[in-house]
Amino acid sequence: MLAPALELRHIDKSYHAVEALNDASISIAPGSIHGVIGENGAGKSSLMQIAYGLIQPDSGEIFVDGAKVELLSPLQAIEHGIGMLHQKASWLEQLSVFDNIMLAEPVTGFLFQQKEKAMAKLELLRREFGFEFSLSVKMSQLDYSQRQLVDVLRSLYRGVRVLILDEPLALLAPSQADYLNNLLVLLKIQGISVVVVSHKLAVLHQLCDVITVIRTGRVIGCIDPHSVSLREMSKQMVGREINLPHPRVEPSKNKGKVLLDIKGLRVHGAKTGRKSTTKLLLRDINLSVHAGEMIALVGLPESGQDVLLDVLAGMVRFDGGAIDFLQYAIRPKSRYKINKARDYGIAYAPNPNFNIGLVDQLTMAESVYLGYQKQDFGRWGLLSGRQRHQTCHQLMMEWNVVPALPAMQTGLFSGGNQQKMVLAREFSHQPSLLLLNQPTHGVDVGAIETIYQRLFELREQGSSILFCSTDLDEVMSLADRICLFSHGELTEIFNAEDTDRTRLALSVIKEAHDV
Amino acid sequence: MNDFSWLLLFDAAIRLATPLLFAALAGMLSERAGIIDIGLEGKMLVGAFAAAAWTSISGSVWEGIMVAMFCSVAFSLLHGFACITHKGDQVVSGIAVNMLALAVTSLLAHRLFSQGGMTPVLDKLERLPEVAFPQWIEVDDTWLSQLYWQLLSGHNILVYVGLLLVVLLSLFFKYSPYGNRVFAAGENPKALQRAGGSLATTRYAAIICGGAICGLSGAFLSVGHGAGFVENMTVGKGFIALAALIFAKWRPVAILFSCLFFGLLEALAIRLQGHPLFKGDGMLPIQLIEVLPYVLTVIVLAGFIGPSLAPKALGNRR
Repeated sequence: MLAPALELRHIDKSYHAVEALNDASISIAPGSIHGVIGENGAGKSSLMQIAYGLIQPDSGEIFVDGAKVELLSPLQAIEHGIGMLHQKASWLEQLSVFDNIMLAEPVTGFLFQQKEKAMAKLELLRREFGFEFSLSVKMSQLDYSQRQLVDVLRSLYRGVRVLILDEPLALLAPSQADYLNNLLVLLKIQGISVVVVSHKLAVLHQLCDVITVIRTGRVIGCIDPHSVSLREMSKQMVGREINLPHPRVEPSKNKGKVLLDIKGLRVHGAKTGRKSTTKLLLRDINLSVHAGEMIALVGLPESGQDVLLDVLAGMVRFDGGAIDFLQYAIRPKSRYKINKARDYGIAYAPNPNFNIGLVDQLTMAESVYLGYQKQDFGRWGLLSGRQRHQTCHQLMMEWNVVPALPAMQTGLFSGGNQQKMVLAREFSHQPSLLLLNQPTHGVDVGAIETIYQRLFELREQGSSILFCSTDLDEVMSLADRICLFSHGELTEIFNAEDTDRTRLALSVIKEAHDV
Repeated sequence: MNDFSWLLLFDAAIRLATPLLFAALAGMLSERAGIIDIGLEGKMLVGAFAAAAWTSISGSVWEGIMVAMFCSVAFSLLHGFACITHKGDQVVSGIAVNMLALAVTSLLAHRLFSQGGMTPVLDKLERLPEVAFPQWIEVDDTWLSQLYWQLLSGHNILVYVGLLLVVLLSLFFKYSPYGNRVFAAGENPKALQRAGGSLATTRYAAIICGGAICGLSGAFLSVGHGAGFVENMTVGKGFIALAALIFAKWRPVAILFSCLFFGLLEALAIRLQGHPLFKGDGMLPIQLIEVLPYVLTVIVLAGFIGPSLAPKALGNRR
């Protein structure tokens, strides 16, 4: 039997008396695809960050190929052949793909000589693994999933032997499913072990050779997905029965009057560089939304569905058309901004990938204010610390956020818990229109169930909900109507009852090829 | 305005812009790496004192310049120790550097030389020599010759070093992997760390180079342009350099031009003193002229450059 490619033994880690990991051990066999699942805040990310040297454990040992090592920094982890793809974006968009990959590469020999060599080697790897981007384009020109692949390419360049994928959402999107499969197979052939951390249980169940379950900082056990059902797997993870896929929310019965009416909406893209050619981000969108309706906006990434949400939330200006919401008429020139939107009763939870819903440096109690500081809490124009603390704590209990410490820094919460707090904030103000972008990205299945329940309740009270999601199961279990976007146009509107998941998936993919 | 020579004005502008240029380039290196450099003023002062003091003691101006760079780097390291190693607040630490520099230089100047806070006046041999250009163009009255001999030739060596630095630094940021690393440290430290780079090492390297360049700026004041150290002789030049840096949006070549612009304003202020602007006795009060560069700085910074494009993680402590 070969020694495990990477092994973490008896890891303990706590942050300010909050225990993140307790005697956690994990062992990655060479050339295997190893899944890691657990609820939000269970400690998956902490464990992976320890394996990549980003944080140091309080106690415990790390072995690479059977030899004990100490990982004090990512550099040391990289030297031991460990690579990682992170949950949240951090690239230098102004630099080229090549420069991003070579960012921290030790400089050896003459500069240009090294560049040529590296270029050649990268080009070879790029072809071998079928990455479609060019090495010389700026990072900002790539879409999200390609950017994640740049990280993969960097790891490959450095001779990675254990590649950790921490919630690689963009790669797990349905449109990328085949691609990811191929990639994993290629990696496996090269003898590279892959660790995938994700909440997409179904995907992991299919892909992985073995799955480790973590619950509240402890490793519960290892599952062989070939012999354990998906249902049993989710039960192990959450500790109670969960229906998967999530059952369909009852379709809306009391469809009210038109709440939101969009006519001929048009948005120009920003002028790129010196060329004054503008791409239309949205063209001629017509959509009426009734009170008590839940509408999904689907399409391949960057097809315009995000832009529509941003426009409605007042984050992006529009250049033509009209939006009528309740009694308010919103026109291109009406200085419509996000604070207005909030006054009108529109709430917005942005895409968690872009990390703009909360401020990492604030405490959670402060973060929960953001956007609503004028409406709530104010007494003589002052913010009341105690009241804010209480409100935050209450929300944390309601939404099952762990640890329930309002005074803890926002950035220290796990990704899923941050997203729960963003949703808690937006839900708590009883919006008449709720805009959600990837509402359950990074959220565990147990919490998703609660979120769906709350969305349902909100809809029953007569609010409308517009959401973007790349998760078609989610779309199918929530939406009353589904809008299909392609290249900035709204090409088709389905009634959810008249379609099924396969047909929807086909339509999404078909739009991509019909250019 | 017959005796008013534009050529002489520009000549003065180049001389006055040089210390600003060094300081602004030093500030650029440090701020590109994400460390706010309020302490430029203090480091300039330290450089100025160290250069003048060492030169007057040892008699060698080159040694003086080395010592100036060394002392300025020491102050940079103090700043770095506070805000890189101990993750302190960069603005507070920078102000501390300024106050400390002012106090230390005055104290030492008084104690060492007992000349009321000045160092002994350096004679011509103890100052930086002027560089005369080769005789490619004859000295005559044509504009080309005037330009060559009056404007370009005859400055001291640091002026040319400054210009060279602009070129080197632009190449550094454009083509070198180290440049990308410094850029990353100021723009997205997380990306740098995750790629396996060390934020602390990168930032220390940047501020050490910045400190050395800033030392040159001070040395230019006391042993290049001037002939000795006078208490608080930088009088806010470090802050003007900081303004020039922001004005230029942290880009080396733009920094050259913004420093020349501020140098020109200063030269104009000096030139206009005692110069009848209008027919008859219409003289502008000196104070009004002296305040001109500062007022224009405010106007320029407020209105003419659009949004400032600071490195995103400037002041970020992690």
